[in-house]
Amino acid sequence: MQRCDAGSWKNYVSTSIFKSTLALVLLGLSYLTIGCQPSYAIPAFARKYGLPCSACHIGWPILNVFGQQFRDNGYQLGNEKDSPIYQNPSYWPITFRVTPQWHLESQTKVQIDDPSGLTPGTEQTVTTHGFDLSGLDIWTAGTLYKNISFSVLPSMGEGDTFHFENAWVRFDNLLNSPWLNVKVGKFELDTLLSEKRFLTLSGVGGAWFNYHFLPVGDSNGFGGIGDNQMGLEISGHNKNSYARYSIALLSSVDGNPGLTTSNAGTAYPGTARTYDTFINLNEGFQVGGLGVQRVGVYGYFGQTPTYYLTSGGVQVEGKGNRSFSRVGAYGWWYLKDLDIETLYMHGQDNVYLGNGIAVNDSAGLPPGAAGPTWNGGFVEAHYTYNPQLIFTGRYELVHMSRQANPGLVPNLGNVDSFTIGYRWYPIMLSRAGLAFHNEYSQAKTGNTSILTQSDQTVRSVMIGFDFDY
Amino acid sequence: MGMFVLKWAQVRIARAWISDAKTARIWISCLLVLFLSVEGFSRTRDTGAASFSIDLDKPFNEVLAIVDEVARSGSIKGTFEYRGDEQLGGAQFAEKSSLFPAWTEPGKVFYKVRTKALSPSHFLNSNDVGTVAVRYVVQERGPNSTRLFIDAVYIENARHHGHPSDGYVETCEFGEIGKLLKDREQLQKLAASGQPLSPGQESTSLSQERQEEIKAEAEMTRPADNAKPKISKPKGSKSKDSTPPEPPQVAEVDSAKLGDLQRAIAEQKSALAADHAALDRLEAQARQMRSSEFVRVKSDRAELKVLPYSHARVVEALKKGQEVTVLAKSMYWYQVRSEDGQEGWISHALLEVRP
Repeated sequence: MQRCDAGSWKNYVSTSIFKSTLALVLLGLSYLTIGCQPSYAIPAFARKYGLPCSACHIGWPILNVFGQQFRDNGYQLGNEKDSPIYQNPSYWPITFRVTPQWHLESQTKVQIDDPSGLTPGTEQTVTTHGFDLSGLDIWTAGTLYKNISFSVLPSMGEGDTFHFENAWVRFDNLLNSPWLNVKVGKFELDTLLSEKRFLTLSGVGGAWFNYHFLPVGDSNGFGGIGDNQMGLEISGHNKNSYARYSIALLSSVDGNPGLTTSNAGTAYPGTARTYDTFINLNEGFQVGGLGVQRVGVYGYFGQTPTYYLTSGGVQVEGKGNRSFSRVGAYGWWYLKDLDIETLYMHGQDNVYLGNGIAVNDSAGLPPGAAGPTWNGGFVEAHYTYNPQLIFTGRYELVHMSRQANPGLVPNLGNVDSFTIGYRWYPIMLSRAGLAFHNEYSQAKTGNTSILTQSDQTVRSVMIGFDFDY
Repeated sequence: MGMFVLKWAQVRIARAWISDAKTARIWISCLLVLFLSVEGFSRTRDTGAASFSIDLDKPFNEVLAIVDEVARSGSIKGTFEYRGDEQLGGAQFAEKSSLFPAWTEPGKVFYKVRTKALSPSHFLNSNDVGTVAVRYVVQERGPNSTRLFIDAVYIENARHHGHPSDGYVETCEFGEIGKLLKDREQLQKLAASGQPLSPGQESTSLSQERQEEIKAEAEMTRPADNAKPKISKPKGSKSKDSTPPEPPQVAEVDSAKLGDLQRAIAEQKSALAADHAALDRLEAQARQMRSSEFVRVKSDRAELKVLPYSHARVVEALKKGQEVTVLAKSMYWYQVRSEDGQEGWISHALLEVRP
């Protein structure tokens, strides 16, 4: 008789989950082989122009070369089809996106309180799973007039209030040149490797660590180049958008309205009066029969306050600004149906930011303190079997090269992560898009457990339906 | 700088391998398996085989002239960019195209090319912007037999990825050629019979120049006795061998007898034409019997469709073992005639060669 202990029960559950997932995958693949249909996609622009989504997307939401060109040209094709008389009268320029899902989140070495409060507690793995919803995006974009484009994207999480993920107006082709375009509002930084258009959505894999990394103990209010920012951008590109540039002047508020640095939490709600700069240059070139290869460099140079003046106890004006930067290079390499994104980033924060110390409290700096620096990067591959089935895999790391406080262990906060998954699009029509999304992601963070100061590992499994209409 | 980055990456990867060997190995193994398997898939997907071929019981020069005209028509049938369009305009005639490998077999080759096509329909997994090319190969098979190949492909500008047509483009292009051939045949028959063309008949899909050419050809080849009705001279009339015959004296002809003769001639001509037509049909059938491929349905459920599409209207359901005659072939679909004379398209996967 088989013994039914916890271990065997766990094995049984995990085997069952594995079998169910496998069955789902096989079911999906068998349906795919039987019932392939033409690929049409992203509703808003597809509806507007009567084009298939494959005109602009390798697989929704990744843009292909023409999609990038269309976006750079202010959502205009540059032909007579831009004229309103060609557009479908029933065109409604709004897309809704939401992702019902089942997901599992697990973290090792979580501090568990001692109910008696007599000891610091213990460490153990915490795992949760169940059915869930993503936030809701309501996106509208298009042209207000010839060469005046716009985008408004109110977004909300479950139970949250709406916020503007982006809201901007852009004046395109100024002086009749694609090299001069001006955008004002809140927008995604002109990062060719776009975190808003990537294929991973899980709790761990749903963001690039490099785009949001901060060393342990750092008080920088900047949320990373993955955050949409508020400001003015001047950009340009050649006719086919192979050569592109952008320079942005941004308020040092990490995209938050009201001129506050609320991203830093309640400790720093006051006003920042400084401006940041983001520069991006990239170039595309053809390599034999492989396709367009793109390379680029970028840099974000900013400042953030280290303390605030107060009035009646309320913080009103940021002071003691200190600098930080994120610089790097990237490449997007096409080998026919396989495309590989690579990124390198070097980050550095001022010593006061790194140690979370106000400039007017220089005595607070620990002996030997220095500005923290780190290096990171990722390799992310996509294989487009066809526009309705895309596999993805990523390996990403961020390693500290200098800690702000020499007393800290060198690998504190290091991140090593990988993600694999695929997206299958059974429906990609001008009316709606539906993706069956499967993803596993894992990240190890160096020495971050509170009690034992050892590495922690977080894992995510996500099975969901990402749809928009 | 590049060397520094490379060295840094090497060091980092090596450290990752050592410090977290298990994770890194799993990750790299997964990537390798993924890459190898998908590479395997990709090799089996795009075969690039000749997609449409048909034998026509028409002289080589006649088919060549029509194909040349279609290749210069400026539009590609059976594909479109924007919903609501029916064809892809702006195509150019070309004698060469790098989108196809060089044609080394006998035959005259033409191309029709459309650049900057935006994800054109009816090309498998069509994506991005690129070039559509249609290749026509006309091969002489005999004095009154010509083989025609049509292939269409779409190549992306950025990734150079080739997308073969799903067969519809070739079918529609051939539809255009077939229509012109039919129009030409009609014009030839009318011109040969000496009847003037009515305005409706003249406004066929053939260009005005082509119509004039066909009429001229027909005039040249028309038998002399067909040129004018021969009217016999009345008995006793004088004739001089050395002098050209005098114009017939209509007034001298017995109008009743003339009428009878003309009716008899017309009846004989009609009977002769019917015999010729029957002979032509029999010859065509014989040629088709010689060149046709007989196959039979191997699937329990097989549908004969109007067009080479999964979603096309069904002409009739065929039974397993039922024999059909292949009339034309595209990459995935065969045009066939069933035993009861119904013609349509059927997926080649549902057929097997008759032993």
